Amino acid sequence: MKFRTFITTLSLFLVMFYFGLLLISLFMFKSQIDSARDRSLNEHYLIASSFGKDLAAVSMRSGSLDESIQPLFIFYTDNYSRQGVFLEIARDGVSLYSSVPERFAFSRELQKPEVGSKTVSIERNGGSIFVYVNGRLPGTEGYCLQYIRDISESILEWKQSQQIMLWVGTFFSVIMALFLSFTLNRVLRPLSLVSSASKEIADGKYGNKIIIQGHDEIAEMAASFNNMAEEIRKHISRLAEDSQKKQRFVDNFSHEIRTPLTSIYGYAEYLQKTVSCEEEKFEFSERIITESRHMLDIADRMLELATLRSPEINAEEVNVDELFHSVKELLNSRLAKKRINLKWDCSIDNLYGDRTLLKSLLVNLTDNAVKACNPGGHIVWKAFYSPHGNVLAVEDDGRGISAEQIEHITEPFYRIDKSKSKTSGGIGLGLSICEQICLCHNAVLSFESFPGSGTTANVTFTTQ
Amino acid sequence: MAAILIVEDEPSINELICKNLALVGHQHMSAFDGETALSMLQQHSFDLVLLDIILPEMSGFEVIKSMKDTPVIFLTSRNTLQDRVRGLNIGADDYIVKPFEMLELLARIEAVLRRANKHNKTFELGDVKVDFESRQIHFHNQLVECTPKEFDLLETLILNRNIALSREKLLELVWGYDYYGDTRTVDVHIQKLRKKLSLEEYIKTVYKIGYRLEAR
Repeated sequence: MKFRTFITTLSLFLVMFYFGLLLISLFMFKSQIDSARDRSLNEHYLIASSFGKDLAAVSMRSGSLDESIQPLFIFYTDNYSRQGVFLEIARDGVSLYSSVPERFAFSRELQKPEVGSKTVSIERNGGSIFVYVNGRLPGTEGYCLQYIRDISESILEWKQSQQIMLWVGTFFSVIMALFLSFTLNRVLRPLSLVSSASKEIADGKYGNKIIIQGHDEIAEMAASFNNMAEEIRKHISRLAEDSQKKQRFVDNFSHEIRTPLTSIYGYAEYLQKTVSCEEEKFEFSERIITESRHMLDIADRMLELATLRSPEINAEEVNVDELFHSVKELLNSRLAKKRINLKWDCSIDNLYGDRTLLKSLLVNLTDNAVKACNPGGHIVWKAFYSPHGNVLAVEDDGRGISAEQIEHITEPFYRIDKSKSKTSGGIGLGLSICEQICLCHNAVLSFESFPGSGTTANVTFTTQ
Repeated sequence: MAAILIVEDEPSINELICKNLALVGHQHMSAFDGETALSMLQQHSFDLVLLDIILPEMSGFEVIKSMKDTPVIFLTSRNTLQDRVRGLNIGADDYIVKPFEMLELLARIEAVLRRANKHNKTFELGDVKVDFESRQIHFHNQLVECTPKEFDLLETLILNRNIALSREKLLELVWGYDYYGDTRTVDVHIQKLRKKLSLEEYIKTVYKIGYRLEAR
């Protein structure tokens, strides 16, 4: 499009320009010619009148008109041939005297001008251009004086000035073309920037921005484009992240299933095909049962996680004190086993949410706290109001988690220390479930922890 | 009989593999993470390493990079093509996916040992001496005439000793997948072996399954 614009504009300019030059040139030519004509006419008049007067004077003295003409003629022509003017005297159409040089001599129809009028013509002859003015010689009968002027030079001058104009014109045209091209490039540069940036985005490089100065439409377009590119990049990286998350989930799930199955299959095969003592028979079949139960746990938790994804919660006002009491009941044996000290501190009365899910949430979080604590450790439950909303917190003084691990702990099947959690039956879905419960309640789950100095899990209910 | 290191973080699976290896007479040691495995490799020499990929701290891939020479079989639940290719490219001799069949594990171990020339070339069973290289069987130090299939059957029983093998399995292992005959062939050959080599006490019939060569 830039090229078309360039060509169109340039062509238009050139056409107009040269047309203008042409008109000027023609005008100058006409003006030259006209002034030559007028000048010639005037001169003819002058010459004719003075010649006539002189002729009258001479012929009066000498008494013969015909004889007087020639010497006078010679006198005049000498004078004028230096100026490039030739004269010719004719009578009744027949040339009598002429100062026209040989090379310009030609057989020409001599006109017979009427009385009181002159004929003017401009003709080319032998490479030069002449003005012919023919008029009667005053004071005579039938005599005509023809005035011939060579205007080749002035025509040549015109031609030269025409040439100069042309060259100058061309020079300015080239400048104009360059200038036009430069301007167009500058104005339309943003378009090519947009197009190359678009190509990069199509190739998958989302980071490019177009820099345009100014506030005109093109700058606006560039700004919108940058905005769009940024949104696309964000969207794509979100999608990529989601896809990776899914892949990790599938990989982890596959591993989690295959591991207990390996034991189940292996021990069953061993029991069937080999000779083993009673003790071994008991031990190995026990393992089969344990691993089967583990797989059942995984199935149950997965189902729990799946149903939470379509949240249909029965929300109500749940008394915090009651909640704490009932969950403590559920966890009593686990707490006792490790001699964990549990206490709570609530400064709000109620939480708005699904009773069952809130219980499950508290159980899961506290379960993790118990696992993190050493025997004799402490766990504190807190429910309080904060500017962001009501907060439910579970604090422990156990092992703690590193910042890097905190990023992953809510991922399905993620366990910080696989071997330890395996013996305590951990699957790694507890916090994923907690996260889902929080999502259902428009709450945010966050962790504060430092290795060696305990962990606090915070659930912030934002709509309350 | 080879010295095999088992690197597997799940205790029950680790023990399962130990038991399997013991059946066919391999010596074994166990490690439950990468660090321990590497230090054990430094202290002892092993003929083969069974290596899991998902280990605490150090992954199996990292362990194999720090190893030299010893043949490695990856034994892992990661079943994607990508993982298998990576495992083999990184230098493992074989790659088995969990859950696995006992016989397959043992067969692959045997194959890797054979390639590394660390397999048993002979075996003694009662009064019988078997030479796998020359394919000769000596009974009371006398060379015994045996058909090729009889030898193959005995070899298979020895390599999979203490494990009950079904008639179908024996047919497959000894006569090959293309054999359209009856499993009675197996019974006939078993009888012949028992008679010729007085192996009645060793080659036992297993209820509902097939036969098992019992030897420690």
